[in-house]
Amino acid sequence: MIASARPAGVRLRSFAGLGGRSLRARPLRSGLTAAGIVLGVGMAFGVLVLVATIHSSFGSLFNTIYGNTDVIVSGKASVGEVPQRTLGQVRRVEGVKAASGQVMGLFRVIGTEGKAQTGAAATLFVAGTNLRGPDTAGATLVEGTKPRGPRQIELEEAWARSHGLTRGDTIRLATPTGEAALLVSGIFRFGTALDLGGYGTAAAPLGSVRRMTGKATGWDGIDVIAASGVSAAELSRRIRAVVGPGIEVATPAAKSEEVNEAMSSLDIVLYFFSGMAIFVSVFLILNSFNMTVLQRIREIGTLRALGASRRRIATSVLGEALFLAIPGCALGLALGIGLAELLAAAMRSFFGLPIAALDVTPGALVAAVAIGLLATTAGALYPSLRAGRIAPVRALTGAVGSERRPGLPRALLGAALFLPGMAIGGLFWFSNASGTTTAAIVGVGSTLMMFVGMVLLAPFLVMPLIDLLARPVRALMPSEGRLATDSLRMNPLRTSATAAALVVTLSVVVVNATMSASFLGSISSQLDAHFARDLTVQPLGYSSYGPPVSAIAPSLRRQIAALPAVGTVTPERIVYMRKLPGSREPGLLEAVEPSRWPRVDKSEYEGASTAAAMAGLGAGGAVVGRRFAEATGLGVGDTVALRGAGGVVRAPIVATTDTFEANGNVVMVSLATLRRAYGITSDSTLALTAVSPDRRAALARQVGALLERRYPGFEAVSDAEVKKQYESAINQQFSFFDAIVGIAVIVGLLGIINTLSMAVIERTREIGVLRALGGSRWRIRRTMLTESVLISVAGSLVGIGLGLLVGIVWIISIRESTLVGLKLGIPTSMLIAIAVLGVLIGVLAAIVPARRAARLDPLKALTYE
Amino acid sequence: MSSTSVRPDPAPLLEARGLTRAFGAGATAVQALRGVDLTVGEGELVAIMGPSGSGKSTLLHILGALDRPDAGSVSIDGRRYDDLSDRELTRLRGEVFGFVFQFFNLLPTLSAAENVLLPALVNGERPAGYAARVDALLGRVGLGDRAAHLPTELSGGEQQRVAIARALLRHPRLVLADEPTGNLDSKAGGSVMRLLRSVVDDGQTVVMVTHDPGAAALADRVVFLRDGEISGEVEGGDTARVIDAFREIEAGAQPERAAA
Repeated sequence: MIASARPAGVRLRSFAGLGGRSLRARPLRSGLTAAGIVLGVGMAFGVLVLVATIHSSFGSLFNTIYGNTDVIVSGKASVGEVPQRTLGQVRRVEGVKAASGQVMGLFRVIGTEGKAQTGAAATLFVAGTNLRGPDTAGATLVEGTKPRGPRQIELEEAWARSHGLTRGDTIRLATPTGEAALLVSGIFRFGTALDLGGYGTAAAPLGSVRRMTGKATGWDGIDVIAASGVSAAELSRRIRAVVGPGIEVATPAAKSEEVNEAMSSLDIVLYFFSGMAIFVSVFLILNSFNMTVLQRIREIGTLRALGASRRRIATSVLGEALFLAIPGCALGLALGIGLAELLAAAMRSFFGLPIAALDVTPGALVAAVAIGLLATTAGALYPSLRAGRIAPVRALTGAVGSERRPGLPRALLGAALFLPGMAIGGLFWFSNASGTTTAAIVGVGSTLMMFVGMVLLAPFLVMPLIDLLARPVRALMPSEGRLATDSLRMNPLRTSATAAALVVTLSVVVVNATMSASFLGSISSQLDAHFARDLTVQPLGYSSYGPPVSAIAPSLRRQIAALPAVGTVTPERIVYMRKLPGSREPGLLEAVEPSRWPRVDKSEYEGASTAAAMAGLGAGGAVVGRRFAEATGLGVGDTVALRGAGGVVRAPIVATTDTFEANGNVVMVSLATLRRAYGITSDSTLALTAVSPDRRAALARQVGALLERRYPGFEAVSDAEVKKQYESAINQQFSFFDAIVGIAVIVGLLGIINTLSMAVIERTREIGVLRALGGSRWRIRRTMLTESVLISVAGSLVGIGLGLLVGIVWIISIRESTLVGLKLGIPTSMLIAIAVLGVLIGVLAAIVPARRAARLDPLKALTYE
Repeated sequence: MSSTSVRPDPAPLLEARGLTRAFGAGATAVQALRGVDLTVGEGELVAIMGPSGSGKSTLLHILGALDRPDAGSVSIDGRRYDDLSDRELTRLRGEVFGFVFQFFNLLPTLSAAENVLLPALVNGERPAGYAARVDALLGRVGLGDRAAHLPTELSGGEQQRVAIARALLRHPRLVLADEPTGNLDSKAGGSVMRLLRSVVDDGQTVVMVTHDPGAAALADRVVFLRDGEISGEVEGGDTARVIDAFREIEAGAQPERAAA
């Protein structure tokens, strides 16, 4: 006999083949379980790819743009300008082969209809430099010539191609000084491929960029090429010694490292959501295999009676799970790519980050598959061991006894995980401490702990609620209601496992909604309390945390001031700093004109009257936000040291203020102080008032006309519109998370469908009895539907309740440290929508199981053992 | 039937002495077995009868190494197995015993032939070595043409015959049957019993638990159990005698020991 010959009618090759059979015999559950794995692997892989892509984007960005550059000289903390004289100082340093000063412009493409376009793809970074000087970027001209005249520009190849531009074309750009039409003289290519997520790069003669940006002197940066034999580190040291402490000297690698570090807290957030997805997928696998094992007690008992060891049974169940993990991982990888694309697109448009094409590393691939296998093993381990412990006598007796009721230890463990997780989670997510990696890890860990606690506590909240709901349901539908509620109560663990999936997912949505409603409501009332202006002029797409935008040139301010309806026009110069002077926390450095500022802003100051505070600013002092004062311990009478290119400027603190901007991490100085310290001379926004209240409409009309005619890169917005822009900025940040939460809701749905199907299978015989006693299909269907909706309503209510509780606790715990005047906002309409969604999930989840139950042949169901 | 004749002094294959087994504790404790002695000779078909709750299932579980007694000993071929570990009991079940269940317990996803092959698979063996054996067994139980059928495509009687073939696959020393006809109509039950009888006539030893006096009558011996104790024994072969003896047991009287 040859070894592969099998007996007639036998296709199994070994015991392991049993698992495959059993999976195929239950396609619905197998599919749902695999879907759990798909989601877990998908999220993990998507996030890993996205994080790798984000980091390699910035890495390649610096490597490419600074292809030939060894050392970059820029304003301190990448803020502010480098004085004109510094270029000469750098050139004289021994070991410098060449140094090239640059002025950067951020311009917007003007479309065919004459309007400046927004979005990354319409944004062009133009480097103004001496084009006859050394090439610090390492770019090659692939077509045409270098720009020769003031009205010429050369474009990066990929961006030019995607905009259909080629040599000889004219490109129209919205610049701080108005519209510019430039001739494309040539197309260049960087030394390595560059993908800025849509942003364009270009080069133009220095004088031309100076004119277009309105920056008459100073540099945004100086690129240095080292002489051969001089290391970048050594050269950095020598340059630092010459230019002084207010100027930053760094290698391109150090720069990209710095940006990558700044991105690391975002990484943690992404890891958190993939952690959530993996948690839910483990939960789904656990649930599903627990059910399988329960349902197959007699079968497993038989195998044990036939001589299968505990170990063989346990490995077989585990093998079944891992067998599912194979297609699960494969589909998960595909889903992950899709998710990464989606999230990358969201990050480009919501945060304006230059995310390149996806960078799929073998490491991420291996890690995601490993995570999938681990999650599957983790989920199937307990059911496997449980299967192994099934006594062989069960072959004869089948399942006996009723299900265990959840006990006190479970409640205590649940509370022990939930309460501390809830108490501290919010601090790490929303307070100023959230910037550091450790804080993010603690935040993620405590939040996951909170959700595990929620799952453990679910039965103690869901079951009483179901008891409560049972009454009206029974009153409405005596027989179906009774059957449905009895079945739910008989199996408290199954019922709460089903509901737990919903509790967790919906509570995440509710927490998210509560937090965003609270922030929005508070910021809106803060704006009302501070704004006294009639109109704000700002670059298109402006927001204090948003994508980079162009600055406002002095010429625009002068022209607005000359308009007849304008009473006051005063600039605000806002600089985002990764570390505020004297602080370890990020925040905003804000400069205003002390003489005119109170006319457009009615903020109140502590420690000084408004007039005294403004006088103090005018005399070189500073007003600080409350959070800054708390974080640094500095107060009125102390000084803030501003270290910029202009040397150290010591500003005495003259007052503190409550502001919502940057959670109160704000340092406010006069325009003059800002210029003295950092050399910054361009405006971020302009605040305007009309000459008289009755001229407000005229003001808006005149400014609008000016901008439309001359400055298409800018817009004039009313206070209401500013509010709306803040709202949409906040909404966007929260909706980025909502998108990820949506995936969790799908998982919740899968969980419910899964457990409900189990419920039908478990009760096959009972349903047969009902049918035999004359129960119609419609009645069976209604029973299943009632059961499902009861679970989902109870789950939704508990989810909403716990979500609100967490939201309220988080708002209270961060009120002091985060946003001054933060008040709890209850997103009522959202809560109603979530409740409706919960019921819908219940109905949706019942469709398949209810059909199945109704279609059972009563005869077969009765003989089902 | 000639097979009803009693074999003179059969070699003792299975020996149980003083088996006791209780379930639960305290007030709700149930004493299922209270010192049961039983000897089964090689090649015998022994039926165990008794009313519900008499402990007959518990006895079968212990004899079949599915459960352990609280006290007493049980041995097969002179080897005790009442005190073995779970691992050793598992090995014993795979190598020494065959089982036939009231509800057949065929795996619904496996064909008839695959179900027959299951004990080999469970014990880590490859199908190839069993091709001839599976064919022969299916032929033996009259299902040679049903090898590829799934359990749902077979009648109850056919399923039980597959189960008998499965029990015999690895040449067990002892086959234990739990109400083998309990879930079958009388015609199918009769054919299953005749199959078991013929298996015993070929030299196989079988111990079965049954409610059915007709089935028990095909045994060589019928042992009666009541309240966890052996309450009598009659020779098989005659349904009327078995019914009478069973009635007496039910009535609580000690049946007259049938003369050999």
